[in-house]
Amino acid sequence: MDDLTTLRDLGRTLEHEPPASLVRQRARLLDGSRPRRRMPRLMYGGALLGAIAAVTAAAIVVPSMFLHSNTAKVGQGGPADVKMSGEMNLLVLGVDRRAGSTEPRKSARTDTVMLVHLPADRKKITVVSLPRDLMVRTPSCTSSGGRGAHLGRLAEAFADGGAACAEKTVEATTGMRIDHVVELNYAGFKDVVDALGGVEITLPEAVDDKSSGLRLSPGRHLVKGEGALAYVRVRHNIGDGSDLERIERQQQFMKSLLTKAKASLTDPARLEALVRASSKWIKTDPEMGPKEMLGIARNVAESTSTGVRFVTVPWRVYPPDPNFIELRQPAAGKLFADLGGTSKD
Amino acid sequence: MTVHTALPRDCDLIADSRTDAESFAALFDRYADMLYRYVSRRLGPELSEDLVGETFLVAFAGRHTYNLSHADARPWLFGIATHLISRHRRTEAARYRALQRSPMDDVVESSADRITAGVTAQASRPLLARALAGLSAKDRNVLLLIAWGDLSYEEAAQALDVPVGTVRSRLHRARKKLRAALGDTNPLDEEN
Repeated sequence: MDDLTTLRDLGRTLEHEPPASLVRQRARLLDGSRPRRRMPRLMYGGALLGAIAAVTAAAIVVPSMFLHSNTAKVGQGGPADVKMSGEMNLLVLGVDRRAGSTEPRKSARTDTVMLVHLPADRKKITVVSLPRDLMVRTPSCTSSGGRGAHLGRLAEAFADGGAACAEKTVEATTGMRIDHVVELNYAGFKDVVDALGGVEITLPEAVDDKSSGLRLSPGRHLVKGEGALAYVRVRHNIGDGSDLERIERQQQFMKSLLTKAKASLTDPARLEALVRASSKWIKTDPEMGPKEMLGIARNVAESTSTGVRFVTVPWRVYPPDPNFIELRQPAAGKLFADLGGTSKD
Repeated sequence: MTVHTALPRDCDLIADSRTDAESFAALFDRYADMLYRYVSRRLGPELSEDLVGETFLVAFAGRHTYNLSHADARPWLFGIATHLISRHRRTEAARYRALQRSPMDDVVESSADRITAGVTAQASRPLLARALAGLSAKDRNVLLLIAWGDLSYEEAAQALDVPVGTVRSRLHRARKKLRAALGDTNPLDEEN
């Protein structure tokens, strides 16, 4: 028999029929076709895409501040088991869905995943960045429209199964219990920075990046609105262009933002404005409304200064594919154990 | 008399998508299944879904540079998929190695003609798998675009962005190895 015919026969026996879930890729395409989206990650061989990460900055700060309190029980009328005091873990997802969008959740993506750990005494808050290209064992998320258990990128857990799936995945990966999930999009990030009157950053060298529109000279700058967003999103023409370095910049930005936010907390008018701005773009559990957040924020204003530690989870290159990374053990496990339910700061 | 088909050509969809992004989804509807089947042959089902998605994302990002004189977008899409497949060389190699060892465990579909095809291909399967694993990536890409992707020589050349002559020589070299692996020494098969 002709070799090509034999080969074609072999091909037919190897072929698989497209699964119904292939349609998800269509949604992904349409999501990717909206303005502001970039080239797919693969084209740049690494951590590129939808660098909304910015959001995160504010994402962390605001909930940390609002929840920085052991005065407890704000969720009046909410479920009895709402946990506002004691040790608490928040999962913060920077999501690139635009404000007011009615798209189904599946078409949204996250490229910023952070775990905020608040110890019972609220003295030392730890913020752990989990890079989106982290390969993790995702538990079955079929109930929230995601896939069954599989090995995949952390960011995919959210893309496939939404916040519920991201929560399950992070819980499974870290062994930490998550009490609240906070989703935020970058549309509102600018509002928050502006409500704070801008945030100060320091650049070691000049930046001129066309894709984000960021052009700044070396030295200190007060960035607002678009400029702040560009700074936390930029990944090209700055530093080594990696997602991991961007995480470092975001962490710096957050510290600065935090300083600014703390100052505002003593100014009632500012505080109102900040909470109004944040409630538009932060999506929390139903148990945490703007009123509750404002209540906690006021308590925070009266409390003493807070220490916030920013860390990136210990990682190493994922051996089968150098574009991805995986947890570096035992260091990662130790970090989670330190922050876990059994240990108290 | 010419019959005008009501369906827009691929190149029309791509042209439209430059102003109306949603038009690109029609291209997905047209070719996603075809690409999935092709990729699943080379890499197995686990990676195929995501790879098809990536293929369309890359294509979409490059729609402004698509040569609209090419009415048929298949070569373009297969070319992108081929490029993405090359990132999974180890997976593909492992797949061929597995085929050499266990001839039957990967037969999944059960439609009648697949079973027939399966029976005839079964004996030669380990031999072919070994030959495929032994080809250079370039030769294998050409061979499989033609044999499994059903592209013509010209289309394969377009997909890989090489001259048609290069496609012919790569295909010739690949088939020679296939025939050697199958133990076929019939000189009449030597050409074509």
